[in-house]
Amino acid sequence: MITLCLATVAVVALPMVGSRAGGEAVTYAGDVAAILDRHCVLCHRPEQSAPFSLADFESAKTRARQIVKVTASGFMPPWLPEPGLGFAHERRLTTAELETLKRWAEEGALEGDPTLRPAPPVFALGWHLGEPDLVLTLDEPYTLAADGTDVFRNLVVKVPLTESRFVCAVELRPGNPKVVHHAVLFVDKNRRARVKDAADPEPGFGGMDLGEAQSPDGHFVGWTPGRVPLARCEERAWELPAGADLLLQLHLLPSGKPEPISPQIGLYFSKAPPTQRPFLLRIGSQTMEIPAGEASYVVEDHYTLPIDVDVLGIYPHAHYLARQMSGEALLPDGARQRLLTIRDWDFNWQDEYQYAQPIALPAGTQLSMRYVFDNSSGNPRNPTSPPVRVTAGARSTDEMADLWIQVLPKDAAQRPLLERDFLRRDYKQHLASLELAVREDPQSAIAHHDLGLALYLAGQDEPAIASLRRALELDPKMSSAHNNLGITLVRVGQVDEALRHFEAAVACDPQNANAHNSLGLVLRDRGELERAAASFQRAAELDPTHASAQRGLGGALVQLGRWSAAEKPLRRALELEPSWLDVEFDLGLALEMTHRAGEACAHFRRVLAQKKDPPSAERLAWILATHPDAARRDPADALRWARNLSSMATDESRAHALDILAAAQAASGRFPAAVASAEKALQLARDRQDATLVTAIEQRLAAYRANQPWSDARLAER
Amino acid sequence: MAACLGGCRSSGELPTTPNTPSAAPASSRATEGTDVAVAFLDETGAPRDPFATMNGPGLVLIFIRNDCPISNRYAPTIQELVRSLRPRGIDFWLVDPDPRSSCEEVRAHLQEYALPCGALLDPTHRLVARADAQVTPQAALFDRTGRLRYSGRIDDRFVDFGVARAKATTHELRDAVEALLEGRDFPSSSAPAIGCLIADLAPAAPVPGTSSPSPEARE
Repeated sequence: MITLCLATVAVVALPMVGSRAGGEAVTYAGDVAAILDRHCVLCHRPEQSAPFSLADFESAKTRARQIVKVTASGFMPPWLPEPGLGFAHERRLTTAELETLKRWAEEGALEGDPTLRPAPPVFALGWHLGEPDLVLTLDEPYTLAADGTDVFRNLVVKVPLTESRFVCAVELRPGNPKVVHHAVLFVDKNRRARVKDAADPEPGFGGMDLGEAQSPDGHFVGWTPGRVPLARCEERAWELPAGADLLLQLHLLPSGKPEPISPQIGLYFSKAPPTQRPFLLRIGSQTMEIPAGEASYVVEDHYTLPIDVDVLGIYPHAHYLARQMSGEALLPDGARQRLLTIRDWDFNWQDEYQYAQPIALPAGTQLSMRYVFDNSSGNPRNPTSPPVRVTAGARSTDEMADLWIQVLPKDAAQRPLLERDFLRRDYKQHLASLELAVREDPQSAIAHHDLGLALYLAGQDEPAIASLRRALELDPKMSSAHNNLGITLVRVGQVDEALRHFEAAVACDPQNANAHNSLGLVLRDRGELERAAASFQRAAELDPTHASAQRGLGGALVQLGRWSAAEKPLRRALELEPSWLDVEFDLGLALEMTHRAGEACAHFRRVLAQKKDPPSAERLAWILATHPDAARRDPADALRWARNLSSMATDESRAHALDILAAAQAASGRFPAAVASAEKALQLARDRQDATLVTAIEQRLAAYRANQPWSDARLAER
Repeated sequence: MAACLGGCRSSGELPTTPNTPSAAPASSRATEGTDVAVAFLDETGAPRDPFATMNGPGLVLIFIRNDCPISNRYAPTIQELVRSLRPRGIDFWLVDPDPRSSCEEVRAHLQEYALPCGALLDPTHRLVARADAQVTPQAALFDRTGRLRYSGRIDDRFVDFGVARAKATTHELRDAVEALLEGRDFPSSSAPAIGCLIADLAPAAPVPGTSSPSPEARE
C-alpha cells in the first residue's frame, strides 16, 4: 500500500550493459553508449538541461577525458547523498562503469562497430504524465540577465479554480532548462505574494523569502535537472483550495547571455479526497549565528516522534555555507537508522529524496540532524569575501539549517496528535528566530512587529503589546503595527485604546483591508452598526477574498434589518469559509426575511447538522409549522424540532419555545395540546412583561381555540 | 558585428579586403619567438594572423568552445576585459579549438553571447600549442615581440567543475596585462584554469598548401 506512490514515469527503456572480455578494446558502440544512455543522456541531449549533448559518438568522443574526470570525482551524475541510504531513483555509476569509461578514454575513445551500439533511448515528447487536467503559465516570461551570480525568482502563478481540487500529480516544465537549476512549487493560500509581485516591475519578485506561501500539505513538489515527475498518486493527493495562487520559486544560474524563461505547470486532479496524508517535519535551527571565519560551525537538533510513522522522503536544506549534513533516527530499542549523509553539500544540486522502501519508525524514536557550516574564506562557495558574520534567515546571504522529513502516520487518526505536538515545538523555534532578528537589528520596526505578532499568536498578550508599542515608537506610521496592537488590546479588554489604533491604522494606510475590518469589528461590538458596515464594506472592496470582512458586513446588515443587501456578502463569506455556522444562520435569516423561507430551511438544517443551535431550531420549526403554503409545511418535523427546542430552553427563551411548540402542535391538528402550550407561553410572556409577545400569542391562541392552525403570512414566498 | 570583422584590433582599423588571402602574410616583427607565422580563418572566413596584425603592446587570446558552459559564463567578463583593455592598445582574439566548428557557427555564437571581438578557428591546435592552452576558457598574453608572457585562467571564479565563487577574488589575466603595460614583472602562469579539456578535441591533420578546411598559410 505504502509503496504504491513511489513510481516515477518511465521515460526511457534501456537494455542491460554487456560485460566485456578483459583484453578487448573498450569501444563506444560496444560499451560506452549504454552507460551514457543509462546515466547521462536524459539531460545531455539537445534542447535539454545539460550544456552539451552526449547522445552520439562524436559528442561523447570530444568529452571523453572530461567524462572520466567528472564521474570519477562524483560531480556527475549529480547526486549528493552517500551510497547505501536506500533512496529510490539514485543516480550513481558502478565501479565497473567508471572503469569502462576510464579505459575508453585511455585507449583513444574508439567508436567500434556502430552496428553494436544499443538502440538509443526513446524519450517522451511533451508531458511525461500525459495531457494535464490544467496547464498553468505565466502572464509574461521572466528574463534572466546574462551575468552575475545565481538568482532566485519567485513567480506568481494564478489558478483559475472556482472550487477546491485534489492534486494527485504535478509536472513542472521549467521553461528554460539550461538556466533553471531547480524549481520548487508552493501554495499561496491568501495570495499575499501578489503584493510583492506588484512592487517589482519585472514578473515575480526576487529573493528566497516566500512570505506566507507553503509547500502543499505534507508534500514537496520540485523539479531538478534529470528528475522526472512522480506518477499520479490518488491516495496521496493534496488539496489546492479555490482562490489560492501557486508560487513557483526558480533558482537560476546565468548562462552568459540573457535568457527568457516561461515555465509551465501541469496539474493532474483526482476526484476523491486522499486516503493518506503525509506530514512534513522540520528539524534544525533558526537561530544560527555563525562567526566570520568559523570553519566548523555545528548545528544539531532532534525531535521525538509521538506516534508510529513511515518515513517516505527527506529534503535537506541549507544555503551556501553548509559542508556536511547528516540525519539519523534513534529507535526506542537503541537501534540507529541512518536517514541521510552528505559529505560535500552543494546548494546548486539540492534535491529531495524518496526512500525506495518507507522506513518504519515507532513512537518514541528520536529524529536528529547535524549540519556543519564553513564560513571561512577557505570555502569557495562562501558568497561573501572576506567572510562576514552570518545569521539565520531567508535571504541568500543568510543561512538555513533545515532537515525536512516526510512521514506518513501509521494510523491516520493519529495525525492530529503529531501535528499538534510538532507545531508546538516548531512554534517555539519560530519565536526564538524572531527574537534573534530583534537582537540583530534593535532599530527595526518590522522585526519588533513580527515578534509582537508571533507573541500575540502564542497568547502572550503583555509581551506582544510591548513589542508592538516598540515597533510604533520606531515607526509611528506602521499601519499593520497599529492594527495588530489594537487586536491585542481588544483581547485584554482595552477597547477604547484599540479603537484609536484601528483608526490610526486606517489613516496610515487607507488600503489596509485588515485594519478596516478590525475597525468594523470594534464598531459593531459598540453597536455602531452603520459605521461598522461601512468599514467592513471598505475592507471587502479592498480584498474581496477577505472572508472576515464579508462575514462582518453581512452580519451588520442583518442586524440593521437590511436583509436583501446582506445576502451577497454572506454568500461570499460562506464560499470562502464554508464552516462558518453563524454566517449560515444569518444567510438563512436573510432569506427567510426576503420571502425565501423554503431556501432558508436548508441553511438552518445545515447549522443543526453541525451543532445544537436553538436559534436555528426556532426558525426551522416555525417555518415548518406556519408556512402559508401547505406544501412547504412539515408538521411532524416541526414538532420534532419544537420539542427539541423546549428541552433546550432557558427561563428566558421558554415562552418563545412554547409558542413555537403550540404552533407545531396546531399544525399537526393537536389543538387541545396547542391551546395548553400557548396558555403556558402566554403566562410566561406576561410574567416577563413582554407585551409584543403577549399580543402575538393571544392572537394565535384564539386561532387554536377555533381549531385553526396559525399561518404566518410574512413567510409567503415571492 | 561589422566592427568585429577585423577582430579587436586596437587601432580599430578594418582590413580593406577581408576575404583575400593576401591580407594574411606575417610581418617580420611578428615572427620573433615563433618558428612560423600562421594565418587562421576568422568567423567571417577571412584568413588572419593575429601576430602579424598586432601593432600595440600586447595580444590576448582567449580559448573558448561553443558548447562549453564555463566559457559561456565568462562572456560578460570577456566583454568587460575587451571594453577596458582594448583602448589601452591590447588586441583580443577568441580562439575556437574545436575542429568541427564552422565559421558560421562561430559567428552565430559571437552574436548570441554578444562577444565584442573576432574569433579564430584553430582546428589543428597550432594556437593551442603556442599558447599552452589546456582548457576552455583559458587566456594567453603575448607581448609585442610575440613572446608568450602569460598562460592561465582569466580569474579564480571557478574553483572546480560546479564550484564557482560568487565573485572572482583574483584577476590573473587583467593583472598580467596591467603589469605588461606598466613594464612590471608578473607570473607567467596561474593555478590551473577550470573548464572543458581541449585534449578531448583531436586536432585536424594539417593540410599543407591549402587554406581550407584547415587553413595554414606558411611563409
